[in-house]
Amino acid sequence: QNSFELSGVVVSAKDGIPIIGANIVIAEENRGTTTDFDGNFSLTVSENDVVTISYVGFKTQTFIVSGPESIEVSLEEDASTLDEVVVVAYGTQKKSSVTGSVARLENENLDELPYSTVDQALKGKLAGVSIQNVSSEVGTSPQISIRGLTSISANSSPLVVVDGFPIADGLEFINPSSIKSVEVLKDASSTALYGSRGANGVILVTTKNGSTTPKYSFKTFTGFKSPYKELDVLDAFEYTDLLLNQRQLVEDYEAAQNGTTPQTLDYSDRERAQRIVAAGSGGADWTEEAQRSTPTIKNYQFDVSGGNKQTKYYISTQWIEDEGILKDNYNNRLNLSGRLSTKLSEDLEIGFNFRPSFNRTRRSTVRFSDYARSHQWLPVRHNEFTSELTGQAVGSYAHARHFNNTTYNYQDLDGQDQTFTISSLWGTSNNNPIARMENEARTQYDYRMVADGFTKWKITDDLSYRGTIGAYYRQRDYEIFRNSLADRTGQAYGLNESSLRTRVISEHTLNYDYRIKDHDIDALIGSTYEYTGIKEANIAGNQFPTDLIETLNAATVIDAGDTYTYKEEISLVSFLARVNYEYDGKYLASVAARYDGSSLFGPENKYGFFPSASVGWNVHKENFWKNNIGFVNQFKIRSSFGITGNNNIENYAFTNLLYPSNYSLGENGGAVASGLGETGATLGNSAISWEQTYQYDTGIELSFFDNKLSLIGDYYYSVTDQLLLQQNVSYITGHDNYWNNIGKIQNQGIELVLAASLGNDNFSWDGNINFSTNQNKLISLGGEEQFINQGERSEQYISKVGEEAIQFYGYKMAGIWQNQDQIDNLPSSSDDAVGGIRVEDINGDGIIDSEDRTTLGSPFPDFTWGFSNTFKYKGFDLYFLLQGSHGAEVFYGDGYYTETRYLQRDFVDGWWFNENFAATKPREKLGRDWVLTDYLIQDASYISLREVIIGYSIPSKWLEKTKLDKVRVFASGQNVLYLMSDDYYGLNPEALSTSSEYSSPLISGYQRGAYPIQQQFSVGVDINF
Amino acid sequence: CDDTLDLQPISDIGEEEYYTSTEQINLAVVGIYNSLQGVMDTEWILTELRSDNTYMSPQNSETANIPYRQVDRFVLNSQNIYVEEYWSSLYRTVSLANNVITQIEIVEDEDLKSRYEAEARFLRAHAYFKLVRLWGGVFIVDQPISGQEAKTMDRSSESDVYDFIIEDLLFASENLPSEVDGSELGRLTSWAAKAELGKVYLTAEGGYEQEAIAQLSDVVNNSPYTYLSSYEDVFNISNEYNSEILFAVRYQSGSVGLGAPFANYFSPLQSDSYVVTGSGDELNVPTTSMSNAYNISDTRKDVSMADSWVGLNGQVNEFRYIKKYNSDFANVDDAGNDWPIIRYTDVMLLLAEAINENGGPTAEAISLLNTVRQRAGLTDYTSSEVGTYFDFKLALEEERKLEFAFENQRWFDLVRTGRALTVMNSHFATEDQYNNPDDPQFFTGPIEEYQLLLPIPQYEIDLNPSIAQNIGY
Repeated sequence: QNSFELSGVVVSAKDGIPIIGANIVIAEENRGTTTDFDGNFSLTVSENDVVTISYVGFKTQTFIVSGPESIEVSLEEDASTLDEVVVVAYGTQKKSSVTGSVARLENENLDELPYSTVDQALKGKLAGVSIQNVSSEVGTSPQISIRGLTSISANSSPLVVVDGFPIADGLEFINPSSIKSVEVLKDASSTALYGSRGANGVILVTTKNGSTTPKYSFKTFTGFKSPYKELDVLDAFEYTDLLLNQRQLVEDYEAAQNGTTPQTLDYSDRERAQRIVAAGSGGADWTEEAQRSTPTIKNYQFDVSGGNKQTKYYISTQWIEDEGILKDNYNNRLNLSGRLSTKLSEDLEIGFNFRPSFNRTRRSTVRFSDYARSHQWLPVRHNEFTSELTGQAVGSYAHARHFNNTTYNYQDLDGQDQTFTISSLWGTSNNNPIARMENEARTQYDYRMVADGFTKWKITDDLSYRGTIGAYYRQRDYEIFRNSLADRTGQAYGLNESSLRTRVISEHTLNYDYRIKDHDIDALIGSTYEYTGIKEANIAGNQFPTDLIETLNAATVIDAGDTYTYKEEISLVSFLARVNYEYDGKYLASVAARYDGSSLFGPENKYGFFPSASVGWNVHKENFWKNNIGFVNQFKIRSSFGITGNNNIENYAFTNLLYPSNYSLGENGGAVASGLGETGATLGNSAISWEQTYQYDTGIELSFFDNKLSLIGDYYYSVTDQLLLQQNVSYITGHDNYWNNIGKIQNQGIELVLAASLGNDNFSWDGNINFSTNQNKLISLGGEEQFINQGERSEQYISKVGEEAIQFYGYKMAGIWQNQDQIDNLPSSSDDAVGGIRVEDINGDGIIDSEDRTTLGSPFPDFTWGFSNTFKYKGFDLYFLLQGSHGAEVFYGDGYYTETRYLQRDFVDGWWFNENFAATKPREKLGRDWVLTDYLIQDASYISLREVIIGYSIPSKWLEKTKLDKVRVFASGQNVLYLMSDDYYGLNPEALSTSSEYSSPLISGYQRGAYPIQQQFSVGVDINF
Repeated sequence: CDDTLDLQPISDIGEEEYYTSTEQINLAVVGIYNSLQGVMDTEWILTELRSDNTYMSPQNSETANIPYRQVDRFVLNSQNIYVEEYWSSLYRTVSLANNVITQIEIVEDEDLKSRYEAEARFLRAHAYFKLVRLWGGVFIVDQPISGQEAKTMDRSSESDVYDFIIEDLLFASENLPSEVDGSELGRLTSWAAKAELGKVYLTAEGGYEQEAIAQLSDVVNNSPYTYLSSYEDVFNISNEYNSEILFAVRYQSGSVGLGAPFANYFSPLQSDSYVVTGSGDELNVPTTSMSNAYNISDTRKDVSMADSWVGLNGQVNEFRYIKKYNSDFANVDDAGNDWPIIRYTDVMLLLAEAINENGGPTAEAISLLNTVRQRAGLTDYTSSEVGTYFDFKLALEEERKLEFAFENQRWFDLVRTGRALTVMNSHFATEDQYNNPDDPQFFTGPIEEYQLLLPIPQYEIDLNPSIAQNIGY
């Protein structure tokens, strides 16, 4: 038999990256070899030898040697592999050894989803992780929370750690194509080592590393957007006809009652004037005027990786141009990243990551709904007709005020010429919104840079050291320039807000990994130090001599009241330790703890200690299992308990601060006299300290039928104690709020992930359903029964012991007041009027007063789910994601505005206009204030076909003659279908206001000025060479 | 680690570090004066807008104006945002004053110490005088308190609040300087304290007329203050804090963060820059009856208000507006006009009122009234016209309405003299604004006694349900 040398290379079928250390074995002869750093191997074989090639995480391949040719072996990934490696806090772990709750997501097609940031692409894909696009304005980030509302302090967003380095806003600017995997640490034991920083959960992002042969990847896509839904508003003719018809109905009715002949009524002067202007000017469909015809998103990315045995590099670049639906809204982003690592010796490795990013966002000047609530008789600009009428120049912006005291001519019903003058057509202080849009620019520039370096030193076989030091730097400039045409003031105005945030983090860990027989011990100790410096500078100026210079050097006056600089700093020092123990791969245990000191608390209360413990049992490794229940090939039970801490409060809350409070003193106009006063909204509380969450989690992981089907289920229960709460305080203290450690909140929920994988070489299907519920409940509020909080429009939110942490609060609508008799005979108050909302007398005492307020629903969903599917057939692939949220409610804040109330058809259909005509909806501004009732509280449930991607990879045989490894074209759709509740009047059930009052953790669920859900269709190509 | 973690504020200063020197106490005193601006921001809503002098314009369609309208038409409830804002701004002043009073021992110079304390106590009393008149018995807070302590407090009786005010003002009148340097013009003098005390005596239940007369006549006869010969000059932007002004809230134009918003609040909607820079919001509009109340020869009308404004191409717009606080300024909400709190003519008319309350009009009382009338270009009342207690009372009421138009005095005058229900209900019956049959939502019915007080903000009651709400709300 002839022996010859068989040589070849082993690569991953998925990305063509060489597999290092794959085993090539001739089983019969019990000999073999492994692949080197480039995936190459050579082995002496004979014809007809049976060669087996295997590697952890890949399906084993077997072939029969036919001749001495050089071969390439592509190994398919094995989804069923148990010993997938997952990234955990300060290290990695075999999946089967993990005792905490960790969700993992491979890149798959994250990078071809046409979003400008990664966080949007994660939506619906991970159980227990809520990602809500609170605004569809481009350049804004979604709100992310893990396992509900554990804290009611300032911030509930999770910690993001990129390649071991914490970056607060990492998801906003990491290039999706450079991401290898995303892990989410959910329970207390897996986040324990991050201490207070991980209190809201941790998202670990691992980026791709270099390979030994140079690889190039180019990817681009272009997407086209449109609003999924637009508000149905009445134009000038519809609106005036509606009013006239209502009057005519009343006239006819009354005439019939009196037995007289009804008169034919005509428009009122104001209505007629609006119709005349609308007809003569063409009016304006404001939302149409404000929108781009076809907003697009364009993305280009180019990645290079390479290196040799010692040194590897990975360079990634991405450029995104993203246009919003509104003409003035866009976002441009350049993300760069470079990774470099080198082995100085067998024992010593150093590496360096460098991630600069530049981002320019033009924020829209006017909210979407403010276009929708503009009267459509008003044109954008004056034409000949309106110029004649108002004396304004043709082509200049038309404002409602131009039509004051205007005289109109018309023919009445009898054909007589009539003239009338009307003082005002629309008494508003609002400006023509297009004039605002076109003459006021709000631009935000973000310059980010993260640089971190690490050293890994293998001190002995068992003991290793890892040190990381890095810096994060973000300069944000927000510039506003409003020229003299923008609004009624006729004054140019400029603002430059500049903020610099720097963070230095230094982390050192020692790892001891010891294995003897079946005992495996992995211990880690370490320390971390984190310093954050914040500097803000604000300059405001006005009286620009010309609109042509937009920077503040041209301002004649700098506004002292809005011009300042501000600095603050925060530090965190921690010590951490963890021991993992494993016996025979069956019995697992882990103990971890962290000791944190924070500058945010007063001198007596800086330190907190946060321990955790977890255990796991791989039941399927027990013989009794293996022998009896073979079709269940994995069964793990794990359980954890731990305490995490939270220090998420505003800086210096432990003391009362004095702020400049100047006054004018002296003769004539006076001169500025300096003053200082404790005028801050926050009353200091020196006792403020750590909030603690006690979390219990238990989970099972099951796989069936050679891992074709798998199920992961988790139940968690947590109690957060000593809640850090920014609590209202009586105004008699001279302040509005104070921080307090008060009360307890409980969260519990279930997370289920069911995955299936079927198929053969030609066809495959992968399905994944995730389902999450979370229920929160306030257990105590430090002796209080409830807190009531107020939003910007006096609408109220209640936090009540024994119930959900936030509920809407107010009067419950019982109907409308059809006539005065009802008001006289049913419980009412002086706020009530005929045609207005009738509310329930909750306490049944026959009058309506503040005692009749009640809870009106909550902004938290009952459950959320996602269902993703991937089909592959030969070169084709199809992916789609269905996603839904059920049971949440929102406060439709746009309904606060008078114009919205009478122009949006949802409010008008069925509204009250006369006591003799039964109605179902209250009229505009009659009677009780809508915002104090549940009339505007609406169901925010939805089901969406969130993503569809169809791809086709050109067969590799066609590419053989080129240098290309892979070419794939793809088309995708976002929000292809989006089903909303009939009860919902708005444009985006996910939208939430999150600034000012709404940044308070006890107020949520309010939406105003929301942008429509964007539907988007894209095409792209992905080339590897 | 402790050094690493012990990071003190950089751009602000904590109270523990702050109060260490006389100058720092002085800065904190200036800080109390600053809080007066916050009070004035909403004061006109709860006083002038509620009176028969002004109303909330129906022109302005903004729903945001509903809370104003609720106040104007007496359909407000305890959740009214301006009730809450005004309440909190007054307690802000109280707390800033308490901070100074608590730390006053730091000042070593006895004169300065008593002066600073007197200023703080005057301003605290000034806030309480407004609180007690608008809400009745309120919480007496005389030192800095924590959030927990605030919950244990209860409302005091109205007479306890008056006793507290009188004690503070007596201290202030004895310890404030009788005059201040030109560079400190705007800080309080003992004369302002006496004038305020006189008004408090006249307002409080309990027969303090004698005390009122003593304080007020001291100011009228012995103080360096006097009335100007022209009403217009009193409000002239280039003649601020003149010898008629005992106390005013000061504003300064020029983008220094101390400008007044009232010119923009009160000017007509959609008036571009024809009335004031940056147009107006038409929030506080003189009523028809207000406009008609002025005699044709009364020089005060043109200073205080206008019946129309002239726009593009000389077009005349018939919208009434307040112009007392208008001046030239470059930016929106940045007028320099001071808001007078105590004027010499106020002291004169209060003295006349005190004399009348103490046994009917005397020649001195009639002369005080006539002096104010003469300055306005009006003829004297004869003693037969105003010779009785009631005639004189009505004449004073009318004169004060015109003399102090839009200075937030009218409502307090009506309540003090027990005339509010009569005057307001007759106003609602006659003023078109409140009786438009086409707009039934704007109908305003007769008000009741309880509506003379405001509701305690629901915010406070939601925080501490054991607090008693004012009866009727």
